[in-house]
Amino acid sequence: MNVYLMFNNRSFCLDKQRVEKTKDLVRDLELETIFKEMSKGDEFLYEISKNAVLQSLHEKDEILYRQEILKDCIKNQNLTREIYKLTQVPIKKKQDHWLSIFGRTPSSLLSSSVSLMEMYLGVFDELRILADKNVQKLESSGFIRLFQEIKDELNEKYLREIKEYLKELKFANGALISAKLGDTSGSKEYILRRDNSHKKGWFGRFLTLKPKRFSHTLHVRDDAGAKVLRNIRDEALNDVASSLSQAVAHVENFFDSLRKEIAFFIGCLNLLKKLEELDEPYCFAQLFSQDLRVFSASSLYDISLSLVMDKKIVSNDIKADEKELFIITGANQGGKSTFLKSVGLAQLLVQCGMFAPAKSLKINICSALFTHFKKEEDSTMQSGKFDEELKRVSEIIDNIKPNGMILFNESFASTNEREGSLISEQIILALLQKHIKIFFVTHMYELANSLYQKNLNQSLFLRAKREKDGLRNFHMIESKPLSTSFAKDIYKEIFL
Amino acid sequence: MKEFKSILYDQDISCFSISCNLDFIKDLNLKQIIDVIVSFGKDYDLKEFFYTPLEDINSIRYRQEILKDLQQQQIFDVVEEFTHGMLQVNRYQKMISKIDYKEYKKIWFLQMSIVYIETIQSLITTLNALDFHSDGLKLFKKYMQAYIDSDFFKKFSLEAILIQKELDSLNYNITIDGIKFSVQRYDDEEDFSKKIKNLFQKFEDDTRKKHKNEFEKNSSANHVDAKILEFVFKLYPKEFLKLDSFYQNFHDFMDKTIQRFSHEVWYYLSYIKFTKEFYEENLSFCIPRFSDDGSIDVEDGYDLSLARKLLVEKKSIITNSYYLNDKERILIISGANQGGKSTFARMVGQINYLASLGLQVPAKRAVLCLSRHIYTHFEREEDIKNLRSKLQDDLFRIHQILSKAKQGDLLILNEIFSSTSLSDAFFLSKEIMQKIIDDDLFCVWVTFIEELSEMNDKTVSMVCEIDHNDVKNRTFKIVRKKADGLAYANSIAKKYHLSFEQIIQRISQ
Repeated sequence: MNVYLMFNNRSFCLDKQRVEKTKDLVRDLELETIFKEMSKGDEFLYEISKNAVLQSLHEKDEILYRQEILKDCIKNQNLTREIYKLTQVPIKKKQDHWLSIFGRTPSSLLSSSVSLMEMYLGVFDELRILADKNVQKLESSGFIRLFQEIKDELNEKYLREIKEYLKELKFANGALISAKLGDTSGSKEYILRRDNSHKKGWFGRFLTLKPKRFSHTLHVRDDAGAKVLRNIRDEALNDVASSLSQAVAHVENFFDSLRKEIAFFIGCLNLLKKLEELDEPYCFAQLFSQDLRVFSASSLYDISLSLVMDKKIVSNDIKADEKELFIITGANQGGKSTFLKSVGLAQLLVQCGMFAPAKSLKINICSALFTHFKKEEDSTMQSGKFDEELKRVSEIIDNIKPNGMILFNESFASTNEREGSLISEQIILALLQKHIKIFFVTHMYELANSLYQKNLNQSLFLRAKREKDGLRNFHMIESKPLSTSFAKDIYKEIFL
Repeated sequence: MKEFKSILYDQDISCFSISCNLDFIKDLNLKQIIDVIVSFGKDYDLKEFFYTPLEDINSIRYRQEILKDLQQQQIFDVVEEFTHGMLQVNRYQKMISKIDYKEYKKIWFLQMSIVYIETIQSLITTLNALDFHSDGLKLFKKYMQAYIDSDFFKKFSLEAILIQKELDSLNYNITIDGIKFSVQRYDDEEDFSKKIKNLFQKFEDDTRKKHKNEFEKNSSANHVDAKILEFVFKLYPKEFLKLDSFYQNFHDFMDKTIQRFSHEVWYYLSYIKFTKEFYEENLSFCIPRFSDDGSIDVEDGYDLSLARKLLVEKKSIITNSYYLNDKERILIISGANQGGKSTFARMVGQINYLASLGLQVPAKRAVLCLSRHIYTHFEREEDIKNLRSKLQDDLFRIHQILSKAKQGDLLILNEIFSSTSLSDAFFLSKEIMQKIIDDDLFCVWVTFIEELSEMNDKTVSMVCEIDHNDVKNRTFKIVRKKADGLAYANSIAKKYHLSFEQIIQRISQ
């Protein structure tokens, strides 16, 4: 039995390495604010949200599959939260069970497995009732398949049979074990046997002659002897204990998966609720494959900024299909970084199957998203900083593939403009040749202008526009780069 | 043909002496190599064999032939299997001698007999299908055939198997309820584990790692199991009467020669196992030939101790070749620091030593002139007192060595006199060189005094090879070449691989 709500063919897993690798991305896009909103202070939800958002999907079908389920969740929020609640029940008992799994004897493993299994059977009963009640309302293939499987696999007759056997496995009259001569301890091939009493009625039992039988009871203080008996019992119980603990592990795994996978959708619902409160728009993006270059949005906004400000914020409209290089220039605090972040956030949220922070969005899927932002700290060590920047680019190059996407924010500004521009241009042109989509926010006129002069078809030049009234109205407009150099002016002022 | 006695010695053992010259064992890293080799046969006491080099070429060939036979996988497997059986028999024997419960003694005795019989029989059937080239294994085969045809073995095995069959068919039930247990005959009760397994089949998950439960098996005799046995004997009195008389009749059935073989043969098996991991990395071993004229020719040899270390670290291993013609007796090794000179010297010693054990040597091909004794003098950094007393010690040791060494022995000198002034060292070296030549010794001499290599027609110069494209890179190749005293420079630091071309190349990879 599988949950398969996050993917149609596999279970969702936490990926520590992935999270570790995306530290820059999390910091640069200020993703923590989003994770926090999704988890509402719950550690588990936080962990799941973070992992799900950072483990991007790269196929259109995968994303659509998850989108559909999310749509179902949005329509049936109560059901979603009820399922999530059911998965909470077993946690405590489970922890006690597995805490000491290592070094456990089959006997103790068996008895705790029996009691756990009995508990899970109860939860399954409830889950089945929930499925029966709601299956009609759902539309996504993922949910329909899951509920059908629960119905098929865990019918009442089967559950009842299991319950009966579990009772017998408590061995009220001692464990019956068959053996043969052999081995160094004297006997071998211990096999747990099922007492014949279930075969005969009481009358049959009455007629059977009592077989020849030799009995012995150990002295109460004979610890060594008791241990020998325990070992024999353990050996005989080993297979049963394994089967049962494996079954428990499987069932547990199912509930675990269910809890994890539903948790992501709970996180989405939490975020959605907040957006509705803030009156921010959202939409499900229209997706295009990796080899296409599509980027059109209306009312695209920086969702993390909106959450931090706790209010509706300025948004941008953009239409830039078939563009691969976006050079963004303009005034300080003109909203360049905010725009850059909104682009990255939209891409990331869409690629985890979530809704997008925009009124409408058309976007191509990318193979991987990277950020290369200027680091504010340690501004004193100029040369070390440039080295550090190059090292980070080098790491990105190590990991990126064609159709990837990189957001550069004031990169290579830690050296002089000529050197920074030359290096940047070299890197940009090489990346373009490898079909990497680039958003580059820069102050460097040399760089922007040099690229502008090249007149590349796939390039688009944007400028942050500041409204005349002094109030900053952050809008991006298409515009050729403007020189911000004042040197000429000053020269003129002084000499002429 | 002679009668089979030992798989290690073609003569009586008394004429061999155990070598205990610890200096060269330590200097050549032989102790650590031998420790690893014997760890492959840790059920046997093998160390002594590896510290007993042979002096007689015929005795060496006796072993070489056997080793060659055993290297065939088929033969190896058969022999190993056989020794496993014999090992089990030995373990039973020890256990029986220690136990007091009479039921145990008898049951174990029968089990031991069965293992012994099966081991011998399965060896015989497989032996018949095998062809041996070595005298040792041919003789052993003949011995075994005679043994299995003997009246004693026939009667013994027949009876054992008959009783075993009867006891095997006995089934009984043990009911355990706390500290109470009872024993009765088995009454066709169904297997509960299977039942449960079927029930939970749909929960089985192949991808899940199976959790291994930890439980103790009662591996040794104890009063509870003895009680159970006692009850079983009572449930089936007729069957156990026969066991009793079998036990009385065949008390001492083991054959001493066969027992000895199964111990000694592990000398070869452990070495073959040891060489296997080298073969897997495409490193060669070969059985050396011995020249009559004193010439030596070794192709692609290597230092086993270093090679093993590098194998573990997954690093590649450099091999080296060397030869000595006609009058040549002395290899003078010079060149860069850490260029592999000591390693080379060790290799030469190891190859000679392993050859004298009748084993394969670490090389692709080897023609040797067997040195019966090896003497080493390696620079010892730990005991520097003052320069004068150190020089004194050095000379004292060399004097001792030279007074013992006889024609054809191998002398390995590593960086002696390195802390002496050049003129002193040069003078002393010339004197010692003359003695080596006078005594007609083979010698490997690692030194910084290049002039030694051109002193006479006995010396051959070998130097560390340099990679001229990248002088920083050490090749660890030692080649036969005039000493040239090159200096070694270091190269430049690398940059960030971020040029246009480099990026293009990196992303397409």
